[in-house]
Amino acid sequence: MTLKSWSTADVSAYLDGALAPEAQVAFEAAVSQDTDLQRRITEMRRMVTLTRSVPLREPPRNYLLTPAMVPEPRPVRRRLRLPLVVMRAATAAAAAAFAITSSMVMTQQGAAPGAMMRSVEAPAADALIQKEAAGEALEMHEAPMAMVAPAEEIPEATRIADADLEIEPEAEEMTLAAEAEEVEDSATPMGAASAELEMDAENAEPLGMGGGVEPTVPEVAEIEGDGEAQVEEAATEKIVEAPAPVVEDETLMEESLPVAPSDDTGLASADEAETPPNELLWQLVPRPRRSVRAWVPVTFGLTTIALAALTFWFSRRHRS
Amino acid sequence: MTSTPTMWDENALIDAAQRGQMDAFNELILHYQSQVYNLAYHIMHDPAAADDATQEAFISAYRAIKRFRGGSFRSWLLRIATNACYDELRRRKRRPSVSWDDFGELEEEANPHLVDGGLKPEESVQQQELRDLLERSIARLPQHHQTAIILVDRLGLSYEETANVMGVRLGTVKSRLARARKQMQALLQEERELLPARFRL
Repeated sequence: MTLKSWSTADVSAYLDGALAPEAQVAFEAAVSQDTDLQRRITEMRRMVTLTRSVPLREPPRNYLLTPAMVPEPRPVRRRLRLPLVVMRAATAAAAAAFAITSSMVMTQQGAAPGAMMRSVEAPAADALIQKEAAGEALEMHEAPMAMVAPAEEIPEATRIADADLEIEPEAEEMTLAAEAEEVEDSATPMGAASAELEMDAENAEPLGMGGGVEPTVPEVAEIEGDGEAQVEEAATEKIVEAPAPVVEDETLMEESLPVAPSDDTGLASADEAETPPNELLWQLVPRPRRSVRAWVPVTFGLTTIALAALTFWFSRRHRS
Repeated sequence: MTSTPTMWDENALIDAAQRGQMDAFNELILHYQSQVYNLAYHIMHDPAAADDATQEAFISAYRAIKRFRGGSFRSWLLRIATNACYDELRRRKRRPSVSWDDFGELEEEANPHLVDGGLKPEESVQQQELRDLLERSIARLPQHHQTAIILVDRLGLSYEETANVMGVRLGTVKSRLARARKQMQALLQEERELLPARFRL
């Protein structure tokens, strides 16, 4: 075996007697013939002897234990675990609620830009409009007159509502023309206006919290003359039932509901008035979803931050 | 506990300590505290820190004595001490404090045991200088090499015990120890004039 085959690790292990028996024999045979290997062994042995010869430091004291030095672990931590778990769960729940409500609000805003601003005003407007509608319905009880919007007009009517209350003149004319064909009694000229009210009430529904138009019941009362109280009552009921339409102000209401000329309108028959006038509209127009106010995710977000900070503080205090 | 050094029975003391007898564990402490302290001193390079780490290691060992499942009690104890030292080093890195060296001569005065008794003054000084030189050289080694050479050459552990303390394989101990010794040779060669004649390389 040549000299180069014996590494420093072999020399080190040889000094400690840690070589395998076969390797030990071979190493000793090489040492007897290799002067350089002998020198390496001598130098390393001298260093090891020096390292082992220097006495250890005496410890500065005894380290005997006393019962006071090894106290029993306190069970305080277990008692604090449950509140910590509850706080973490509450934080997670608040964060989840924040995420859900935020996504809902963002979706609503994407569907109807500016809806959030209008939704804030919705509750007060709803109450006012419904109150007016109920009062007017009582007044109009003796003058049944209404027009039912034909089914062909639904897309156009829906589009009008989606266009954020901008009723186009063409749509109005078409509506009035169609109504005129179905009117049996042409002596009641205010029916078209009632039909418009119904249609608008239906169209306002899909806008949910943002884009609806509350029919102007006072106008109905103004233009109605004599007739068809049942139909009008049905229309009024629909108006009252319309879920949460939003009106920005009275001006908008008046502008969005033009009064039809008396020449182009007519009255619906009593039979037609008895049947649900807007059943088809109710089926075709998508139902409004439950709205989420803007302050809801904000509240959840603030709650999440507060709970997270409290949980972090509590856990740090518990750990220390 | 009425045991004496002549009645030394490590296994019996361990059994008694596992049953909760603190006196039995204190007997074990008296037997091993020098090795634990020196290991801590070599790792910490600070007498006060070594003192704290040694005490902490014995407290930890007493709390964990029921989990000792046999084998070399010394390697088990030194492993706990090594971990305590590394924990203390990490803690000091996060919160550095005033070094013990700042107190200068106070070290020797506060630790009279560090001054060896029974030696002539010149022999004591020479031995102190030699130990300082050795400790300085060891301190310049990488951490793992330091631990290997301290355990094997300073504390006299076997390769198997060293492997248990360091938590590595036997071959790793061999290679680390060989590299540590080679580096120590080079470091001591740089200051060979400070070495006694019989140790000059």
